[in-house]
Amino acid sequence: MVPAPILTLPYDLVVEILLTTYLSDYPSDLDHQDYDYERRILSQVCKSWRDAVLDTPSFWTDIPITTDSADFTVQLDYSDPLQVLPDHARKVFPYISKILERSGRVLPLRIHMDLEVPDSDRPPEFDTFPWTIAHSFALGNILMPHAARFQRLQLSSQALHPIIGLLSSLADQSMPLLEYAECTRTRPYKADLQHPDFPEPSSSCFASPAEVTPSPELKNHLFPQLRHFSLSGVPQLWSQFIPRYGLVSLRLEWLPEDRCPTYFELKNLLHSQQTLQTLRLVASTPMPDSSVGPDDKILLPNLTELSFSFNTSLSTVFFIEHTDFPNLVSLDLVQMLVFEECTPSHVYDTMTLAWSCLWQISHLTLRYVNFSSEEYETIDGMELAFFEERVPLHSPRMIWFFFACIRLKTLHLLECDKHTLQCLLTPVWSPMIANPPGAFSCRELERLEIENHYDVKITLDFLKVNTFWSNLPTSMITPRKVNVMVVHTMPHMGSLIKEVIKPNTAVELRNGSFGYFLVHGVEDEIENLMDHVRA
Amino acid sequence: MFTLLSEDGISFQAERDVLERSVLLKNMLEDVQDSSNSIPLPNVASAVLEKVLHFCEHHRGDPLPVPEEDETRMRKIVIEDWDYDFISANCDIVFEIIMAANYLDIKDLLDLGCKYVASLIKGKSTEQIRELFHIVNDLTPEEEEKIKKENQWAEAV
Repeated sequence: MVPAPILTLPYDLVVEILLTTYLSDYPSDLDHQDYDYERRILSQVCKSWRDAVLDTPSFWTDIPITTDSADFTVQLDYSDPLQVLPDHARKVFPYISKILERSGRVLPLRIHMDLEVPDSDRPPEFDTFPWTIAHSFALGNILMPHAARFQRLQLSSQALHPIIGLLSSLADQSMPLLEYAECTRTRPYKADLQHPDFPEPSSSCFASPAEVTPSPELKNHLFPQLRHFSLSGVPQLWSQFIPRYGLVSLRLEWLPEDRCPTYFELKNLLHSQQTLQTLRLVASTPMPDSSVGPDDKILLPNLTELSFSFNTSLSTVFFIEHTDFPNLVSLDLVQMLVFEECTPSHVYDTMTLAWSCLWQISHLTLRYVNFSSEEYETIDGMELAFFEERVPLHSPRMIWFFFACIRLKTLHLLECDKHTLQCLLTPVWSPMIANPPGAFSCRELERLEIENHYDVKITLDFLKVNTFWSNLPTSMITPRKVNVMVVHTMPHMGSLIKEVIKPNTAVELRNGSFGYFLVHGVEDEIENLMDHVRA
Repeated sequence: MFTLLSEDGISFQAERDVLERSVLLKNMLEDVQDSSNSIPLPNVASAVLEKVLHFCEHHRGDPLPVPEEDETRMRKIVIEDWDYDFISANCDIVFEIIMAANYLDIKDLLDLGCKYVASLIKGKSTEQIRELFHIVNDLTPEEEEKIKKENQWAEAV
């Protein structure tokens, strides 16, 4: 029988082809299921392909771990998880052990742990979540000998204890290849509050023992290549946090109030990150501290991108007042829960006053900005003042926030309320500083994107009002020129939008959701609505 | 101009910079000053050699490909238009081209062949792959049983 042409290739070429197939075009979120699916498909075609896949370590450098990776029929002695012997640990995690064995001893490894509770509505207590702390120690036991090969460590779990347990079992391990570490507790925040299970801080591979100072030498010894670090819902012993030197990006998210770093712990942690370029903080800012002087600030000179999700709380205001990012280029603000400690206006006002970096940022994203109805009255008063040719007695704080962002090139407003959009649109009567006297904020805007999926009317009203202000006599106001405007809407809204805009609305007006508009009487899909308006 | 002699005795002429896309030929040419003698290539048939030279001719002067720093990392299958047209037009002899590229040590042609075959495999089931390449399943029942057992864990992942 004549062999199939592909089977006439030498072994190393078969390996090369199969490896190219396996390593190509992963989904961007690195779905752990795909590693094994692809490996399985390729290794079951025929004997020679099976030998090629099983005997080539490069196929086995991604280690996916799920709840089903553990054999729960194997008994573990819960009373003393530290005594889990390696042979026994391998019986608990037979497939993970097999993958590690096949990965050889040299190649860098990427660990992807994702533990989900079968019934996600219930809290991950022991009765519904069979994975115990002993399982984490057993897993740590078989992973530990390979720690020197870890390149990427992604630990995600709905319950906290598997992450804590694994980090604890990897304590003191040197990971010279580790570039990226991410620990995420995926359980919804509300459920988290209802079923708090945060244990007392324990040992962790990312925290030094109490008697050891977390110095640059220690970090270089343990994680010299670590550049990207992310913790979500996983508190650490912040005073002993080791990865504090040489990071390029850092994310701290969803920490319970009593487990957030204190101001001085955060300052200490961030001041050691002179290389930090990207910082993301979500519900993780310190509580106000009266011992902090008014001029005491956390200064990050190299930070260019800040993503900050905040509550309207005093800790948010405190954080803003005591931080400085002199070289910030991109700011992404997410307004979350509204607490009664302060108002959104107070927060934006504090930013305007405290963050001098606003005047130089070129990219701004505002998400879910929502003001109270009292603010709406202030903007009406401003409009009145403009037409009475006088400086307004009161003006919304948000308007001054936009005016502070004087060099803004790109503005993305996602699910922001009517008031926010009006603040962007409304000019200020200011004959002392502007000629003509009407001045818009963000006058150098090149791209404006408005995304309101829940209330399309807000977008339509925005365009109407924008047309009104942009077409006032030039003796009163200099129009704002926007090159590209992107709105998110159904294509058939094209007819309505066309009716309310004018040729000077923008150079391009595109639909961010569908990529085109439909206009009554026009057969073709329209990508740039302005082409049609000008025609 | 240098002359190459295929395994079936057909001569092909090419300039030095075209032939130097091949590491094997580049090393051979370093020792050859006189271009009057033809270079025998006993492992490459004329039909394949013609295609290989066509590829090298098109890519003459291109920078030589650099090896991947970390060969275990994800790669994208990106094939330039001309390359795709070239390899898909010769899909009936793609494995011969891969073998010739391997023998002559032409990395970009070898990569192209492997990427093209990988793109054919990607997204297909085991059965579809067997069908596509006319591969007979030669796994023994014992091996199948072993796979089934391991898959209980792998599928759970």
